[in-house]
Amino acid sequence: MSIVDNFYLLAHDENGKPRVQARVAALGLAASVLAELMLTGHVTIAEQRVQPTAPPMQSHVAGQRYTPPPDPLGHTVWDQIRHEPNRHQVRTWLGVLAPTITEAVAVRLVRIGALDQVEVGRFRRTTRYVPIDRNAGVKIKAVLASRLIQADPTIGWSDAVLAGVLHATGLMADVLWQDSGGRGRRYLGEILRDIGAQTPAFIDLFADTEAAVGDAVLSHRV
Amino acid sequence: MSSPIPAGGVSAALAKDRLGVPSVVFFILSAVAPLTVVAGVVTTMYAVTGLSAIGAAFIAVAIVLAVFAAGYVAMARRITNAGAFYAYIARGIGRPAGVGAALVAVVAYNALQVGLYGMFGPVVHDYMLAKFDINLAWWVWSLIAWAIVAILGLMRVDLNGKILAVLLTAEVIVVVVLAAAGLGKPADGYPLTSLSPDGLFGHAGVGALLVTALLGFVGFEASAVFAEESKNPRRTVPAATYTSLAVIGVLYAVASWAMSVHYGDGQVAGVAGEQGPGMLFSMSSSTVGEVANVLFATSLFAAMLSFHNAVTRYMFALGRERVLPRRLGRTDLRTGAPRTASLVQSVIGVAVIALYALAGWDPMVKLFFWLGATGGFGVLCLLAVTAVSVIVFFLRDPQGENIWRRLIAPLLAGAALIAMAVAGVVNYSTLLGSKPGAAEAVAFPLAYLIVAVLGVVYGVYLMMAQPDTYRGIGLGANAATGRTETDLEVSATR
Repeated sequence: MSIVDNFYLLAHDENGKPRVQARVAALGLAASVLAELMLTGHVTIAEQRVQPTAPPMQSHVAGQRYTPPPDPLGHTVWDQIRHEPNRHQVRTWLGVLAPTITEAVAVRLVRIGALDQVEVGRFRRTTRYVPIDRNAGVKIKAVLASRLIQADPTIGWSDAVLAGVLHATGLMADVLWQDSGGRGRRYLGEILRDIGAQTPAFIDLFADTEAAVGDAVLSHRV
Repeated sequence: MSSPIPAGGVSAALAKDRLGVPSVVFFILSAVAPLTVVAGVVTTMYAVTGLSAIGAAFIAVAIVLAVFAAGYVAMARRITNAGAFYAYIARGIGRPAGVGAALVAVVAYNALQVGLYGMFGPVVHDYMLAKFDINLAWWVWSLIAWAIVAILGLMRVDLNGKILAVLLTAEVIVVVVLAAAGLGKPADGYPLTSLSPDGLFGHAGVGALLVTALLGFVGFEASAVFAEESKNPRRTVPAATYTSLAVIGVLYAVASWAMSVHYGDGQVAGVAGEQGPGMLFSMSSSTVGEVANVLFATSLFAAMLSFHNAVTRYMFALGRERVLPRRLGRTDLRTGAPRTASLVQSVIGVAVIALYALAGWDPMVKLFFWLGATGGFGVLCLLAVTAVSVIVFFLRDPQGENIWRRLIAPLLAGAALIAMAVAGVVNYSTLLGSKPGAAEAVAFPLAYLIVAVLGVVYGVYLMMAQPDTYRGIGLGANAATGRTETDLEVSATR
């Protein structure tokens, strides 16, 4: 499971309802998509702007010059970033992706068999995406929490970056709710410092996500 | 597969859902709550200050604010966290001054919010007693309103924009109808005393008049928030700001003139003392008066909720910056409400209501008008310092702004606002309706001075002890990135 999928399942409950404010979930998902593209080497952040990069071809496929992002969603976003005439800020991309990203990720999770699409509501029928494994979100949360609390040194980039996005969106409080003594938080701090030392662009991504979430609260109007 | 990006790319996504002039005007007017001002503030001004040039004071303040707005909205386009005065002050004069201003703002907006409970309780008390023979103390009604505001604040419910628009339109119509009815039955011709600038200059107590008139405009500063999400930031926000100032300035001036015409220049202060907001409602037939009375209560309630949210946003932003405890910058996961900040404001509210109820102090004068006027005075000081900040900001780099917007307008507005603030301090006892030299007339302005000095000292401490926090002062949620200047691209994220 990718960072995006994990974030989606963590941010929704067993009935498919968002466990956090929809806007915050969407900003977190948008950040996760960018984070995955950064991990696969398809984008980077330089001068606060998202820059596309093209990882060299790994296998010889006729007519193909780059290794594409592994999943269609990431590919679509990468194409968009590549073909935009201007290099936009991280905040801009988060804002542009947020309105539609939740649905796009849900559709992908339906296709890989993690979610089921159900129609709910008697009068105003709406589509809800329900996890097929009702405990999927809880499991991801438990694994991540125990890794952080036990300061698991084998924690991978994928989990580390997911933790960063969760922290930036405020969802970490929900993961580390049993963090007595703050051990998980301390290890999270270490991980974030490590990430920042190796790839500072991730710290920019987290900071921009945190700012976007905060501004969503400040500019709230119905 | 559904594309996560709308057709037309980023520029199309950026252009979507932009606000035009009418939407921004509606937002500003509903933040100002005109009926609350005409029925609550104007009548109390007549009763407490005993001065007559109230209409002229509104016009004068509208002009000063329009001049102020030229530089204000120009700077708003260029800084993050543009909804808060202290952001301008931190960027213009310096971060320690910004912290001082932030604390003054928290005190001032809290005073404005809590003061409204002192009007709402008695108004509902009188209405319930007259209509349904229900006789409960004023503070019971205030506490009911407080509880609803506290719960809505925690649930992060703002009143729906459409409901607010309908209520606002009804409020404006009712004020116009009442003013017309009042003018239709003059006591003694149409003397222009209330509108004449002669009543303004050279009179003792003019500072008090101008501060209370300014109180009627608090909320117009919200216009700056829309700089980043308007159709054309160079034109939409200025046009909406000037339109709003003109509409409310004229509305207030005509309504206060109508009251003095209807009751007579000599009697209006006495009538206001006896009837309070009722003097406005009894200018017309009982049906219109009754509708106006109910709308007045809803207008007060909307204003309470709006100021509650304003205080909450201030404390949330300061928590994000870590200038105030970080806890204030946290939100409730499910609702997204700034929970701690909202709770803190509610605790302040209930504590003040309880204090007034237990001490038996008069809610209309000592809660509504004292705290309201003091809140208005705090906003006046913030406006004056913001005008200076705009000048300093553009002196460093004119950024292509013309000399009117970057220098002359803020200079004129700053001078007028400083003069008003000084006159306000001198006339503070008149402002509160107290005897000259009364303790409270010294205590309220002094409290601001102490808070401001503490803030500046704390800002200097942050500079030396916590440079990371210091860098984030004034940036609100953007303290996370340390970004001080907006790039207009940012609007896409709203």
